[in-house]
Amino acid sequence: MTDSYAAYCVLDSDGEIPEDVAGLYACDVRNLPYGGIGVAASVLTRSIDNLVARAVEHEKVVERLMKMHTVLPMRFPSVFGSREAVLAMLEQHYGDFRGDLQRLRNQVEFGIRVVRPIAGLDFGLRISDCGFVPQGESAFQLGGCRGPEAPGKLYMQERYRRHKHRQRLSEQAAQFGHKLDAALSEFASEKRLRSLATDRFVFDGVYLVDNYRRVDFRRAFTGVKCSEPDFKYLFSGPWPPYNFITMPAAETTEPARGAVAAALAGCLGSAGDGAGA
Amino acid sequence: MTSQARVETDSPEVFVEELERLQKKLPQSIQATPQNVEKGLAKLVLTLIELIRQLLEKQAIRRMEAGSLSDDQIENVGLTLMKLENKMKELQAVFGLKDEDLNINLGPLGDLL
Repeated sequence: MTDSYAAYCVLDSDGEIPEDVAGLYACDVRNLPYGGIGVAASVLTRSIDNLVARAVEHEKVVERLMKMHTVLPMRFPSVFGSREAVLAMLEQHYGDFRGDLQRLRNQVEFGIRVVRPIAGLDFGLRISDCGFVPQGESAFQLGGCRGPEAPGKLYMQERYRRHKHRQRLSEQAAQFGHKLDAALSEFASEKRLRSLATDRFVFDGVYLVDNYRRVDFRRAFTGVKCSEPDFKYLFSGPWPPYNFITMPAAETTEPARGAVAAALAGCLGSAGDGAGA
Repeated sequence: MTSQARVETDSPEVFVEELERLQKKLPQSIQATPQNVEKGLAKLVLTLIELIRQLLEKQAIRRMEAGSLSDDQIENVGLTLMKLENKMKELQAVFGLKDEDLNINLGPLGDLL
């Protein structure tokens, strides 16, 4: 394959990158400058294998540069077919990059996830716990079902029980989410709250925090955590602001798409038949 | 070689389990081959039927809560939904589909079901 470029991040400098910053496969990382900003990138002379190790290498470059510059991290793997393709991308989105670099100056990202300690929906809740009050004489009567001769009604009782339980979990998550978010928002400049992907999640969010407010942010998190010890918490960061880049996704050009495919070819090949289009 | 960002939790196994479950919900690669095209279509059709079944169930529960269904009506609705669910299970078994397969990721809108 011809030389491609692995890109790591856009940075607010067109100066040189220290020689000891190593990229994928220990290749030198260079700054490809354009109009006072640049893209940190390294030459990629082989197919990308061992994705996890390479992703860590990518992240390490971004975090290292984050200590010296404001950076806009790029997704791993961001592979371009040539140096010209990298610069064309930089030129195309120059205004967006400038705006984001200004907005994200001295900001880092923290991620917070909270889950319930018990898996599944059925926490042993009984139908009588649901607080259901029949609305009329012919309404659905709790405990008054006719047994095996009324299987449809039994079925609906079970579905109702599950519905109420799910509703209660949802309300509990919303209540807790408001409390945690209120405490954290005080010290964050922006946030992205994600929809709860599974029933077990009660909170999933990322916050953009000014460097000088990191300690306060952490303290606010710990305060809520201590007040609600029944949940399980995951706190991560400081990360480069992956989730706060506002520019639209770049339209991948055909050569770039080809370069990504070629770069990953070895990896996908070794992953077996499971990796499709 | 490690990242300098820290990940802190007192229950790593809980999050690993949940993130693995989440991973299964992410859009999978499309693998359209003559062998699996039938299964792909079955997955799509059954997902849509499941969506309709869940909507009917929610509507029935709403009407039960409001007290606008008689005992006989609840029984009839329950039997219908139960038979539909059983039939769905049979079809899932035929096509080798699990419950979690019956979903469509709608990107930023989340999952269909």
